[in-house]
Amino acid sequence: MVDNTRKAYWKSLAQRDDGTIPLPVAGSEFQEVPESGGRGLTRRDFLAAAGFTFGSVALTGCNRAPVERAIPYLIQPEAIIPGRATYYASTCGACSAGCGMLVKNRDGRAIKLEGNPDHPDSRGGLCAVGQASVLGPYDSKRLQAPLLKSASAKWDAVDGEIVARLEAIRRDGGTVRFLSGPVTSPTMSRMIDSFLGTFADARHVTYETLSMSAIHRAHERTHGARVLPRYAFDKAEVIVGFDADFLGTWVSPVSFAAGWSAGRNADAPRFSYHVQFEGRMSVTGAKADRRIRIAPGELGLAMTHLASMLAHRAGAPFDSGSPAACPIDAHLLEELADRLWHARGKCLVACGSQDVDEQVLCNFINHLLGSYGATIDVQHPASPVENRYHNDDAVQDLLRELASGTVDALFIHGVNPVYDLPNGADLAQTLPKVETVVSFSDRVDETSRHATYNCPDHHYLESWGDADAGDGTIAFRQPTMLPLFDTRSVLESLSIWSGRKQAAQAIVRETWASRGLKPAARRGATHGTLPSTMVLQWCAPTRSASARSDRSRSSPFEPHSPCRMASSRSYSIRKPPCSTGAARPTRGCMRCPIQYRRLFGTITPAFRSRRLRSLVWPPATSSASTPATPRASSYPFSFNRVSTIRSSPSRSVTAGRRALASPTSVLNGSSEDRSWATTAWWERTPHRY
Amino acid sequence: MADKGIRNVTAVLLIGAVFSVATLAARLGAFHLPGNNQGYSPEQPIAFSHRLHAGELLIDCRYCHYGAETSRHAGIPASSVCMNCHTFVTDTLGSLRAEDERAKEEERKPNRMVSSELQKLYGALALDDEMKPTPDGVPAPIEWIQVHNLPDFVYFNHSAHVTANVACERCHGAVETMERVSQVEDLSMGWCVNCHRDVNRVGLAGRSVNASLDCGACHY
Repeated sequence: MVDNTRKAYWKSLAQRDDGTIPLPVAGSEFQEVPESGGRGLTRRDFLAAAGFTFGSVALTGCNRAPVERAIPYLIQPEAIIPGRATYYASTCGACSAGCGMLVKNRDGRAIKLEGNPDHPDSRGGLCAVGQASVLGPYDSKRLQAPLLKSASAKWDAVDGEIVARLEAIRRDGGTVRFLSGPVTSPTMSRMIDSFLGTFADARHVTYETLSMSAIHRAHERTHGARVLPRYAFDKAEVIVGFDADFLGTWVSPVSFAAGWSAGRNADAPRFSYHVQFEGRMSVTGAKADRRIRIAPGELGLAMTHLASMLAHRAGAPFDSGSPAACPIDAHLLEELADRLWHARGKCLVACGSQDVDEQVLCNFINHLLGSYGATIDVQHPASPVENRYHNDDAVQDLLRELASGTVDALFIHGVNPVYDLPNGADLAQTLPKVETVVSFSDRVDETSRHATYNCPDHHYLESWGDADAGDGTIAFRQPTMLPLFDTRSVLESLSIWSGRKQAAQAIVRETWASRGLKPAARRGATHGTLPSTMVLQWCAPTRSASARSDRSRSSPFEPHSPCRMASSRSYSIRKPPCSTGAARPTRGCMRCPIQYRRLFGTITPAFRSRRLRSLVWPPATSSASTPATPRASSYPFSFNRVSTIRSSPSRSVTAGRRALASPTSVLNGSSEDRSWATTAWWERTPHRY
Repeated sequence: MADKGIRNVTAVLLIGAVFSVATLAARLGAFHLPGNNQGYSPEQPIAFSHRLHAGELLIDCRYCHYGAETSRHAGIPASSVCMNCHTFVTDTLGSLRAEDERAKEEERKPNRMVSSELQKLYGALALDDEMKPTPDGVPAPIEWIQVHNLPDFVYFNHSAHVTANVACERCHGAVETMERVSQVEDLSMGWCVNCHRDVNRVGLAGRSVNASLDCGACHY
């Protein structure tokens, strides 16, 4: 029987009824069941003991923090206070727009780029590409020394071979070609010209991955001058973009974005209306009031219809033939045409197409709307540097020359044609057959892989230089850090190979001294005037720890440092923002495959050639048939052929200041007056929009 | 069986305790809670005496630590700052006088005296005793040992404190009495916050202040 007087626990009814309930034993409720077969230590015991032991070992770590060293300068530069960043004004070199920027520098390293609000063109803006370019110097893929036939070499050895080779070419009257991106630096342009001038047969070929060649050529047809005009988006009340990503990548996005947003201020009396036609999603399309999706091939068709509608309103002759049906809703286009016509004189139509005919149509539309002289300025065009007139055909000529084996030496700077060009693969086949290929690329890329000599250029943050921001703004570039590696400025390389060794700083000074620009006396001058000697000295960055490693070479080109800091290090050294490979995509970030394929007009819909052949162009106009735009009377040049694009004398000679000589005449010794390109920004009235 | 388990645990614990004590014993004297470096007084590459410079000669702290008012770091002075005086002062007054005495006794011109510690300074700058650059000398900065060191997750700004009239001694102690600098306060967070609370209550140098008690003021 069950003893009911005692508290009993049972695990089953059978157990209860059968009376075999064990008496509760104190402490045995959780019975120890040895996991290791009843012998030795249990798992729990082990963990308890081990925990204590490990804990006590960890306690031994409660000791002094590791010894930290504080390493001050040997000789303190006046401008540098440890813990505070220094800022250098310089010019962005990430693309050809040449925006002004302020470089934040800590411990001798550039760490952040921001726009310089004093720069008249970029006005404090800096695009994403520019901002990202601060990672460039720290890219682990950078070449750290010159290469001679793909093997690391000394500059002396490379120079010796190149100079000997060039001497032979000069003697035999050989052929030299210099391939580069658009050169916006007047100094670079001068150096290339003087270098090529030492050869009997030499030519400078430029191309740009995002080519503006079509705009140049269209203006040559309509205005008689190869110009890239200036666009004033802030003055436009109706803006139409035909595949022109002017807020993102087109021509000079930073200054355009500033102008565009100035015209879209909700507090201002007017607010611009922006329509974007495009085939892919762009920043500009996303910001537009109306984004109209359209296939790239139908762009010309839509423009033809729009031009026809506007010509009808203007009463201007426009023979569009019988174009195919409008690819978009005709009512939309009619409404847009109405808006444009009502706002004529305050419109801006931008076209990003690579097709010359489409650009010509765009010029025609802008002409009908009276944009020239109002929102589009061809008198002070955006591309005054001669070499910015890159010509896509010239590149193809060069490729043919290379293939035929007539080129003795090819210099490649700033471009990667094997990757960029549609027929780059052919170039990769022909390059190894060229006897001397010199690449200035900062890395071994698709093109420089085939180079005989790799002579890596400094990163632009390490270089002296200058840039024409596109509207005549001359901006100077100063090194914001000492070169990290055994690279050399391309200016210095060219000067050595020309037989006149000079430092990059001296080369830049010489360019501007020859144009009558004297170093400014005031300290802290940033751009517009060449800083004085003193400023240059103070601007020279201080030497830092890792820059010391290759100090054994004594190049005459090292920026002068006032403080003889041969081996001083800054206090509290932090690691440079070193990239571990992923910092900068090898293939660049501004390049768009869609535009590549269109680079050489491979997409030319048949309709266009047919329609445009019948387009009456240039319009056989008398003054009576020109559209009655408000600006027509002030239209500064004839539309058919303009041979007199020049600024008035009062513009180029300002009292008390010397205007710059024309870059064209200086470079080519030409007497042709093209002084539209000559006024530097500080000569003009500052244009605060 | 249970007894056996307990015996085992006891044995292991004892062994662990003995082991721990054996490992810790050597460092027991230096035991601190993690992050607390109170009393840290490392030997410096040059036996620079704050007692002499700040105490006897009454040189202001900010003459050398000139970043204190403008930067987050007070800064270790560059060797060029030392040379402002030590271009001319090459030894202690005592040893210069002693040399003068000796020279007078031996009826000769006194030799140029350079103390062994200052020799290190000149060596760093690659200068010889005559203050001329040595032809094959390579200047190398002096690697001082940092005494006051906050963890990386704390932001501390000297200029904010110095311009608010916090005296240097309040955190660094009586440096002007130290031959070799040591860390006086524990520089713990509690110590910081207590001071911030106190000055908010009683003010600082006769003025009321608003020392932040936000976490994000120092940790961000």
